[in-house]
Amino acid sequence: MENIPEPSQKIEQDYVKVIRISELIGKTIFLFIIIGLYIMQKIFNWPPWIGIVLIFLFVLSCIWLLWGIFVKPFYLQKSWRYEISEEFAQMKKGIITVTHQVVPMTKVQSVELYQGPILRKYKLFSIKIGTMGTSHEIPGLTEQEAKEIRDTIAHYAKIKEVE
Amino acid sequence: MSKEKRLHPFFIIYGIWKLIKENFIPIILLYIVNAGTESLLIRTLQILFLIYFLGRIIYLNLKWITLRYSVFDETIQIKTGVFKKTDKILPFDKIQNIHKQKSILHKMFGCTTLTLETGLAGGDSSVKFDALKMKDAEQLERLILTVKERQESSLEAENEDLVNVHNTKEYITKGTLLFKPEKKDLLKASFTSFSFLIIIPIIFGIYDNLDMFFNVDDITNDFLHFITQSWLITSILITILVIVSVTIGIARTFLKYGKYEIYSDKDSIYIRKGVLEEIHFSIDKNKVQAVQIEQSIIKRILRLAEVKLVTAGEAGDSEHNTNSLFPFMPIDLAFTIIEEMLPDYKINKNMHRLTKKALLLRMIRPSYIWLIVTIITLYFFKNLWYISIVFLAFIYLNRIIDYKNSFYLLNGEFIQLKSGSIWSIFIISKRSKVIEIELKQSKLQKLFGLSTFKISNRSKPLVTDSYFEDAPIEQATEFYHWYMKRSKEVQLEK
Repeated sequence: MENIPEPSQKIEQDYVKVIRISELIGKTIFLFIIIGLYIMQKIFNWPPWIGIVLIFLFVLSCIWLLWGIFVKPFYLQKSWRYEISEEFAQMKKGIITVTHQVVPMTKVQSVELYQGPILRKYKLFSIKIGTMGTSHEIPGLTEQEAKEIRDTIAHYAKIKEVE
Repeated sequence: MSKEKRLHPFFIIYGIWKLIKENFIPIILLYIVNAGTESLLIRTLQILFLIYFLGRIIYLNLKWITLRYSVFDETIQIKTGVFKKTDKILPFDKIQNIHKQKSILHKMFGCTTLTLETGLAGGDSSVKFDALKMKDAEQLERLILTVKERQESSLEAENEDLVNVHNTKEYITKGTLLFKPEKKDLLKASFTSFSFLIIIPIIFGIYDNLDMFFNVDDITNDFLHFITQSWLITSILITILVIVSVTIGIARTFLKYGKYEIYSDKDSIYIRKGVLEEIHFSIDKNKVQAVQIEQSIIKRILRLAEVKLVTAGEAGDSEHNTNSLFPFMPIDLAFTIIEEMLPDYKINKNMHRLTKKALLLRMIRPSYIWLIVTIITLYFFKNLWYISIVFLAFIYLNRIIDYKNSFYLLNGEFIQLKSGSIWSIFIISKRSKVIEIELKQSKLQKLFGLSTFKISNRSKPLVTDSYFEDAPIEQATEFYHWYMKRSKEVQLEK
């Protein structure tokens, strides 16, 4: 998609750490669930194929965890681009699969400033843009950026099309 | 303009009728099959059910008494509620679609149901009157249409100087007749829809119900023994069964789609259907977001298609599929009807195919479902190993058909997409009606210089997404730039 102009804005460097922590938490919980199921398979004598599937899943999610901690955060932050103009909100992300979304401002129905505990630790914010049926997120913004974007979107989104 | 009105008392009769219909089996079981029973349990159940039934009827009466509506110049006010009162005011200009529906019972009492659909999301979006006098319903409908027309033309008048403001809108049937199925179409339809197979559930239904009272299995066994005794009896029986089911299928299709008419005027599309049960509904042309043409493999062979209008707003009556124009329209006719119906729509049948690269990519793209199915069959059902091969062949056949069926075109402000294998969908929409786009490229696609794109349209209930996969990157780029010029057609509210 080289001929398609990239959205101009990048997100904060610190967002790498945010992804890393949330990946660590999420994937570790998943690993523990698999280990728990494996123990239950041994105790309750579930059919042996369940054990095989669980070992397979365990190996897979270990790789997934390593990927989530060491590779994904870096590339995701690096590839994230967004741009808010008078007409469109554009978001582009991804390395393996690149997605580029274009939402006309007039179709935006809500805009929300969001800060979870991990984001708070790094003094970062996310913006959630709600449309008719979908929700889009621009993560890893400083407070000032986030508030500016929210106000800009709120301003442009007030204009409505004749439908 | 008006005082408070109640619905026609037929509301209660219709309510009782619906109640009986809902509880048909318990009623038969309790009061006919087990009439005069000695069993205490059944006696208790009979009494409890009677109390419940009477309670529902009393509730129905209260509902009728409390339901009052008043029609004003540009709004309608509806008060309802036995225990919880609601008071709703619905401005006419918010009403998008109007449906009317008459069962035989309605016809006998000169009534109709009327549903007013608004484009708003949420549970309160439509108002349904179960029993209105035909005259009142028509009057109300005319009033709503007139008000809407007036408001629209006053809007137009602000923009253009030369607009004739006509306040009185001629009633529905004055629109031009666009489509009426011929006998030939209906015959074809009854085969594509497999409606003749309806005999199977009917037989099972009867069997199931009988099973509750008699020991049907014994009788069936005797019966099976009897019919398999001689080939003659068997073949006669099968012939009779086939004839009966085909007749039922055709009859059903003719009843459902027999008196089908599509009318159109400047602003709306009107559909009336049904022989025994009449259904009328109208669709506001301005609310059409996109048009879809769906074809199954059988329909493709018979050159039939289902034309659907993607409209914004809450689904009124999914049971009656109110956004479908006619499920068995001859395909060539479908295109001309769309253009006649929506004059600003231009369909160009000369669309781009996918490139050979896309086919190559689809041939080497791994199929995870196949992998999982194969592992499961090889582990659990080793002797069924061929399932894996059959499944793979099926997947590849699907991919090839889908490749052959994929078409794409940007034509001025229009976008046309077609894809699908067993079930193919063609969609045409305008740039201004596309509310969101997405471009996607996987590593594999990047290698081949291909990409996937998606358009979203408003619809019932929320959004319809249409994908076009493995398009050359040049087309995706063109598509992106096409969408960025969106503001050209979009009008802004002041």
